[in-house]
Amino acid sequence: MKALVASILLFSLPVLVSAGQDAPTKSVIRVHVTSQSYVFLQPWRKTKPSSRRGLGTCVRPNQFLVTADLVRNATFVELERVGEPGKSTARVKHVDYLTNLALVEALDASFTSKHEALALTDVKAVGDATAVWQFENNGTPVLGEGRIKAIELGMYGSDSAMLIYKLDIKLAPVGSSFVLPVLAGGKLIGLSMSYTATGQSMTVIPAMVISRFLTDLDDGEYQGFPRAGFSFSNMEDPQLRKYAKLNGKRDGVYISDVGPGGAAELAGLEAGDVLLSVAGFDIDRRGEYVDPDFDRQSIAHLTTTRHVSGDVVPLTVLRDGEFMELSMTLKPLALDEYPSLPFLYDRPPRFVIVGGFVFQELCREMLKSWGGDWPSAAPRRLVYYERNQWDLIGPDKRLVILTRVLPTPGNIGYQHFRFEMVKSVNDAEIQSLEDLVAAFQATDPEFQTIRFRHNSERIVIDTASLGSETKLVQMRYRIPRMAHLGEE
Amino acid sequence: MRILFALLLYPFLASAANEEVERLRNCVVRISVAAQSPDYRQPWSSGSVGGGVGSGFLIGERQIMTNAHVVSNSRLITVERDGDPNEYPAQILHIAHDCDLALLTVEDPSFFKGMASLSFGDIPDLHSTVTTYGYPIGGERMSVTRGVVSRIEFRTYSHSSLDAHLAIQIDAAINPGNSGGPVLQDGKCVGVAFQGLSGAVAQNTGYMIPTPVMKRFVKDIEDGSYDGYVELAVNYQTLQNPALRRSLALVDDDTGVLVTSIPQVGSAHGALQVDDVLIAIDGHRISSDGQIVLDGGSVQLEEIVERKFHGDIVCFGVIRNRETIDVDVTLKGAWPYRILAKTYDVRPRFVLFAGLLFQPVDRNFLSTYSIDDLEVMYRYSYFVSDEIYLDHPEIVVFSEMIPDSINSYFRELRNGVVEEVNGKTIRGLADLAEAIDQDVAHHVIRLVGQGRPLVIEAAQVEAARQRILSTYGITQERYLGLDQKQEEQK
Repeated sequence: MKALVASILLFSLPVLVSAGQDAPTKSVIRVHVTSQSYVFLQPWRKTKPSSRRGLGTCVRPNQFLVTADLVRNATFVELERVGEPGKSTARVKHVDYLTNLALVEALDASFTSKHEALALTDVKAVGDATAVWQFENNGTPVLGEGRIKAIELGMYGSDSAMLIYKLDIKLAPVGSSFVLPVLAGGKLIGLSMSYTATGQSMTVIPAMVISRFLTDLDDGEYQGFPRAGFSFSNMEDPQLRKYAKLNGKRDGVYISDVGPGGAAELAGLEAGDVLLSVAGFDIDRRGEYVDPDFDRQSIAHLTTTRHVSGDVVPLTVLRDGEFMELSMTLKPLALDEYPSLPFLYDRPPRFVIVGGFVFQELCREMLKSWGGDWPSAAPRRLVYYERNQWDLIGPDKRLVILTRVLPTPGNIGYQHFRFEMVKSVNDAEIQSLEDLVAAFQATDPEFQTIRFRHNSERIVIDTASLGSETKLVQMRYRIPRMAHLGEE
Repeated sequence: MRILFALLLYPFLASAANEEVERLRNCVVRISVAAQSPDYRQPWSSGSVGGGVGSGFLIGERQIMTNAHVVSNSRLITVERDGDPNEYPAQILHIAHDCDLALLTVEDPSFFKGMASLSFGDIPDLHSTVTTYGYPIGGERMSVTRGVVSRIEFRTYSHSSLDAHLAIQIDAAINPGNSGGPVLQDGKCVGVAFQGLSGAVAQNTGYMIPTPVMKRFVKDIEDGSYDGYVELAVNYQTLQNPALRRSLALVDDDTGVLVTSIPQVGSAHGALQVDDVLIAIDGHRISSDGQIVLDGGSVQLEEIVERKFHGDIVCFGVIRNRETIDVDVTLKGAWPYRILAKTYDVRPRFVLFAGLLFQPVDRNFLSTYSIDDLEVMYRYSYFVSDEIYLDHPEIVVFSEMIPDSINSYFRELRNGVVEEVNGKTIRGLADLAEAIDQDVAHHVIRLVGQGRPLVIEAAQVEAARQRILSTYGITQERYLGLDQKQEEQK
């Protein structure tokens, strides 16, 4: 009994101490998300549903901001007011996985009519105090206080690095919430992305990024955050600087790669160039500039957040000892151009099953089926193709993979094929599942022949029995649909 | 008391077996080896000195057979006999790392006085009893163990960790020191004890090399040198699927496999063709799963090649363009496969330049470095199957760094595959050595997948070289694999 009393005291203590601050009860709402993803190596199946919860922050009437992680693959979303009974069904209004932000709204707007939008507050600096509010199930607010310990580039997902705040904060998790608003002076300065109890460290999406996200949405057409599309190496090595003819007082970074079709490539930037300035800011040898708001920051912040899609940004470049001025028109990543999609949420993976042969397209999510250490656990060829996708597969193309063979009498002798890359069907080159379907239809009257990259064996199937084999597989393995090609 | 009684009785009951043991005392020898294994992390160093013991047995005129792994990387080999206090220095006549056998001799003829050699028997039957003789750990004198033959099958020989040959499993433990000792049945040698499973995995499991492998080794060296196993080097697909058979206009007789690709360095290149259907090998019918019937049992068709030698011919019955023809293939080895094998008695090859260590990737290298770099492992894994060796006979890696001010900023680039040096494409270590000898203002080393080159100012190289050699006690800057004589002349 004593222990219980003690813990209650402990929880309520912070509230007493921070009487000077008001809990943002009227601006937050509990978001309950049920989500379900696909079994990527048996793409006709869905996984067991799971549940997550977070705290949404009201930023517009009936619009609640959460992380994209929270609503990923959502099948059912409910809102619950803090300290008040009753739930209301909601939907995801918009989600941007590269920025890890989403908006949810109640289907019945009257459910949230008393909510007040929280204003965003501008720039904060290292050392500034912040407040993170949590709520007990009965609505009692619990305050956690922490300071900004770093403002730097951080990962928003596996393919996206943008500015984050790192908070030094001790939190006792309350109400198992996934997402929390971070406040300063009663205004929103960010949204928590992750918290590690051991390091007492929280990563936060800053208000500046949130503000860009909301402004982009306000005009009705969401463009997305821009990406410059190049990678660089630092030039601390004096030998490299001398070799690149970077003499004198100027500094810069070595452009190590320029992505195909990206803003940098269209601007004429080349691998081997030395980038000296971006948008009028001088770049140092580590790839940083002096940001007017956040002091020293990576140039990625300039090209993803400080500037928006459509902005024209001047670049100064040293190429073969000559100075050059380039102009780069910023644009968002065209995710559909990726030969191997970096993520695939909220929609089923594409597949085609023909006569027990399961065909799919290579994507990152498929490789993640091998777990957290997929880069070493997944088949080496697939990982290699994913890593070198722009060279080995090519823009706007897909790598079609025979992922498995569901055994039938007709495919005896072929059942050992697994994760083979399809090269051609009936001599037609295959660069997407659509190509595959078309090649099977425009057929040789007698046989269908499938050939592979990196495996000289072939599969030859009887055209006449293919239809019945496919039906047999469908019945025997109880597969609800034998193809999914839609983009829905 | 009971124990004492049993001991007293034993000599009388086992008198027949005892005669055999006495005979074997004159056949089996104990082999002691001082060995030195190379250090791939510091390839200029002479390597750590170690040693071990093994067994061996006389098979002919002054010829002692043992395992290759007993005498690998040896610096001094001595042999002893039960009852003779002397240790006699021995020399390797032939060593076959691909089948873990070696032949030794002793110059001093007095060593062989009174010794008898063993003759080879056949493959013992399953469930029959065999006896192993040798000098395993746990004592000084000859040890005898009985076991039952429990399995006969193809198995990877752990000495090279690549080559698979016939091996016989017995339910007697083969312990360190047993290696190289004979296994007897009915007075004849039916195998050489050579490997076991560790006690943590299985108990009482030992393996022996059977006589077909021993005989092949003895025959291979008849011409004075060991050439090793040959490779057919043909990729084929089994032909069980009826649709596949009909598409090739084959009748439904469960015969034949389809040639799908032929590596350029292999024996079959230029003789067999892609899309050939192989229906017979040396007169044995090939069934649609690639098996043939040999000596009354079903085995993979490669077993025919397994028994052949360099320069031998294997004759295929082939259906090509719907006609049945005979095709002769002259057999040879295929060097690219050897990158996948552990090697012995070779010095690690390397180039050290500006404190950067460059080494070719092979099995020995990888077992030292345990690299998980995708580019390195991709090239190594598919070196043979993708014929990467055609453009890159060696995968040269920037493996290690001796820290010095000339290379302060290169650390994170380790494990990169070298693509180009001073404009020259690097196909092997010799290319790299040649490229860095060029007279340039900046040495520019490009690694695969790394946009940023490693740039080294030529003017600084010599000073850095002096610093690095003296500070770190490095005695040699490159070893490109010259033979012993050239080395000694240097």
